Amino acid sequence: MTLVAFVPRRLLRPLPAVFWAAVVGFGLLSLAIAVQFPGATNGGRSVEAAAAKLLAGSALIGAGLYLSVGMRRPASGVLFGLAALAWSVEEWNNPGIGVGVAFTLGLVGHAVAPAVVTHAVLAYPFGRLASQLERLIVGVAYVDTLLVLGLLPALFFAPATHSCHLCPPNLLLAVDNSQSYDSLNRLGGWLLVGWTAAFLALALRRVLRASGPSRRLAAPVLLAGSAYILLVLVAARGAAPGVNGAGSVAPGLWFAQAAALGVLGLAVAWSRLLRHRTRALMAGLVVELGRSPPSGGLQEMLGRILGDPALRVAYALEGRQKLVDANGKAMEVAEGLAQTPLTREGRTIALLLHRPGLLDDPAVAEEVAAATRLALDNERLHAEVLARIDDLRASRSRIVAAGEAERRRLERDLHDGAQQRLLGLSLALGLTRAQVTEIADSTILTLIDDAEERLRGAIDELREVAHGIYPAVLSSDGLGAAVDSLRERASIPISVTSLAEDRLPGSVESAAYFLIAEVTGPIAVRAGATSAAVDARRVGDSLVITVRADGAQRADTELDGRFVDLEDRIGALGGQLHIEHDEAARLTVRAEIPCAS
Amino acid sequence: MRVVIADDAMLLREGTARLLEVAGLDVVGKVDDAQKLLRIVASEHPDVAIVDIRMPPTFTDEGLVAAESIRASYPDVGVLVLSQYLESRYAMRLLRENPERSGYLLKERVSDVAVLVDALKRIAEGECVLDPTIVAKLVRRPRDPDPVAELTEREREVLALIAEGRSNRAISDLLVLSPKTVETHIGQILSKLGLDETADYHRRVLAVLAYLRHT
Repeated sequence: MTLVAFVPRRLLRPLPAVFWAAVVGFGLLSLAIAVQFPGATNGGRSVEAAAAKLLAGSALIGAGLYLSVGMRRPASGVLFGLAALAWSVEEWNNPGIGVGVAFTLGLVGHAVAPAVVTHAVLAYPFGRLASQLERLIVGVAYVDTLLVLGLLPALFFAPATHSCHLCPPNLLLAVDNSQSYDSLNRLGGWLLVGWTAAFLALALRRVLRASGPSRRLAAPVLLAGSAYILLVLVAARGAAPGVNGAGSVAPGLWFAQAAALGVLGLAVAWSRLLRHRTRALMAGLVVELGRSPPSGGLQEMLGRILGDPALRVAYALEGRQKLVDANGKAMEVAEGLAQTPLTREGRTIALLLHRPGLLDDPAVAEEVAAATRLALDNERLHAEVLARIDDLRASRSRIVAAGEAERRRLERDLHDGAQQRLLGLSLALGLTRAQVTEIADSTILTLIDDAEERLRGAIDELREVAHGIYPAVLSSDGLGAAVDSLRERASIPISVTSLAEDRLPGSVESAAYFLIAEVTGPIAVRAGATSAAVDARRVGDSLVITVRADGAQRADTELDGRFVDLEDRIGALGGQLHIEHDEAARLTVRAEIPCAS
Repeated sequence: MRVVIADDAMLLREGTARLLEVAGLDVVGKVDDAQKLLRIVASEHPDVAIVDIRMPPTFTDEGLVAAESIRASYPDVGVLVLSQYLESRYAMRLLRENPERSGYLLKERVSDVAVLVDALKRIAEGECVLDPTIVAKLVRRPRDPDPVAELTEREREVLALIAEGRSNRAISDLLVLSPKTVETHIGQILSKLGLDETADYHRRVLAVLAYLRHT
C-alpha cells in the first residue's frame, strides 16, 4: 500500500532532490493556474484564496522536507510531499488549464488529497502503517479517491455534456454517460463517508490511547489531520460532483481545509521544536560532562538541565532488591515520581526518577542516555563499589558488635558464676572462722587465714580477668570512668589531658576504651614505654582519641599485628587510625571515630 | 545493731545474714532488688543497709543508685555497699555527696566477720569506710612525678588509713603511735601533697581520695 515502501532504497537516494523539485514545481504551476483562472478555483476569486493555497501547500512541503532531511524519516517526508502534490492536483480539473493531458490528470486526481493526507497522518512519524486496520482504511481511501471518484467517472465524463465549453478535452473519455458518471460519484461519496469516519474514529482512539511520550509527539498531527478530513467529509456531503468553480465546495469549507493543512504542517514542526529543545539541552550536558566529572553527581546536573530539581538517578545493582544512588546507598522511590529507564543495547543502565511528564518524549531519554554514557557508567561503577564497601563495613561492624556483646556476656557470666561461687566460699570461710574463734585453736585459725589469703588471690585474679574482658564501669559510668579505672591498674603512669565526660554511643565508648587500654597496656609494655598520655575529645561529630607512649624504644612484628587489630576495630565503626613512631621514641596512636550512630 | 541486706544472689544474701546473726547483729530485712530495698528502709529504718551494686532489673548500678538515694533521704541510715567491683569510681559516687555513714567494701570481706562488723559499727557511728584493697591500689598507682613515692613508709601507711576513713584515734591505735605523733604525720603528709590541712574528718577523706585518684 505504501507507495514508497515498494521502491528500493538504492533508487530512492538520488530521488529526493528530483522529487522535491517536482513537488515545488507542481505547486507553483497549480498556483499559476489558480491565479490565472480564479473563477474556477475551489477557493473562489480572491487573493486570499491564492495565499491560502500557497500557505497550506508550503506548510505540507515544509513538513515533508523537514521529516526527510531534518528527522531522517524520508518515508514519512515523502508522504507529506505527496500530500502537497495532491493538494495541488485538486486545481487541475480547472477548465482554464487549457491542456488536455493536464485537465485529464486533474479529473483523475482531483479527489486524492484526503487519501494521501490520511496516509501521511496515520503513518507519521515512521512512514509505516502500523496495523491491518490502518492499511485497510488507507487502501479503501486510495481506491475511492483515485478509482471510484477519479479514473472511473473520468471514463464517462464529457465536458460539453456538463456544460463546460471552455474545458480542454478529456483524453480518457470512453462513453459519454452522465448517469454512470453520477452513480460513480454517488458511490464514491458514500465510500468517502465510510473511510473518513473510520479514520476519524481511529485517529481519536489513537490520541486517547497513546502513552504520554508518543501522544505528545503525535497528537497534534493526528488532530490537525482529523480536522482536515472532517472538513472534507462535511464538504463532500454538500457538494455536487463536477469540475472546479461550479461551487463544488463551499468557499468557507475550503478555507478551513487549507487552514487545517497549514496546521498539519505546523504540527510536524512542533515535534521539531521538542526535538530541538532536547538537542540544545543535551549539547549543554555534553559540554559540561566534557569539562569535568560532575561534582554534585549526574543527578544534580540532569536535574538542573532538565529543570526538575527533584530528579533522581537510581541504579539497579545485581543481586540487590533496592535501587541505590550514586553513593551506593539504598534509596526509596518517592510516591508520584515517574520512572524513565536509560537503556543501552537493551540493558537498563540507570533509572531516572522525575516528575511525571518531564521525559515524555522517548527521544529525550535516548539522548540523555547517549550524552551521559561515560559518566553514567562511571557513576554506576562507583555506586557499585561504594555499595559493596558499605556492605563490608556493615558486616565488619556486625562482627565487632558481636565480639563486644560476647565480651559483655563473658564478664556477666564470670560475675554471676565463678566469682559468685568463690564469694560463697569466702562466706563459708567466714562462718567457719566465727564458729572456731571460741575454740581459739591457733593452728586452725592459721589454716583458715592461709585459705583466706589464697582465696582472695583467686578472687582478685578473676576480678582482673573479668575487668580485662569488659569493665562494668564502662557501661555504667562511661569512658572517663573506665580510663580512670585503667590508670589505677596500669604498670606505667598514664596522664590524661582531656577526656570526654559526656556519654557516647556504646560501640564508640567500647572502641575508644579498648584502643586506650591496648595502647597504654600491652603495646606500651611491649614497646618498652615508660609513660603514656591520653586525650579523648569530641571534635564535631567525631571522637578524636590520641594516645602517646613515651620511651617506646622497641618495634617488632608483634606490635604490628596489634596495630592491625586496632585498625580493624576502629575501621569497623567507620573510623580511621593513624600510627606514628618517631625518632624520639614517641609512639602516637590517633583515632577518629564517628559518633553519629 | 539493726541491718537490712539487699542482694539478688540468694546464697550471698542468706549467708551474710547468718554470719551477721552469729555475730549478734539484728538482720531486720533481706531483699533481692533496689525497689524492695527502698521500701524496707522506709519501713524498718535500720542502722545500716548492706547493698549489692548489680541487681535487677538492668544489672548495672541500681544498687549504687539506691544507696545514693538512701543516703540523701535518710541522714541517720548508714549504707555499706558490698561489691565485687574494685572501682574507686563507684566508691567515690557513694561518698561524694554524703560521705558520713557510707562505706564501700569488696564482697570477699565476708570471709572475716570481724572486719565486716567493724565496718558496720564505724558506719553507724558516722564514719566513712573504704576497702583497704582499693586504697592500696590508689596509693601504689604509678604517677609521674610521684609525690606519694616521696613520702616515708610510715607516712604512706598513715595516708592509706586516712583514705580508708580512719579517724586520728583509730590510726594511732592501729599503728600503736601516740595521737600527737599521728597528728604530726598527718600534717607532714598533707603539706607534702599540697592539700589543705582541715579539721573536718569527712572533707579530709574526700580530699585525699580525690588526690589519690587523679594526681
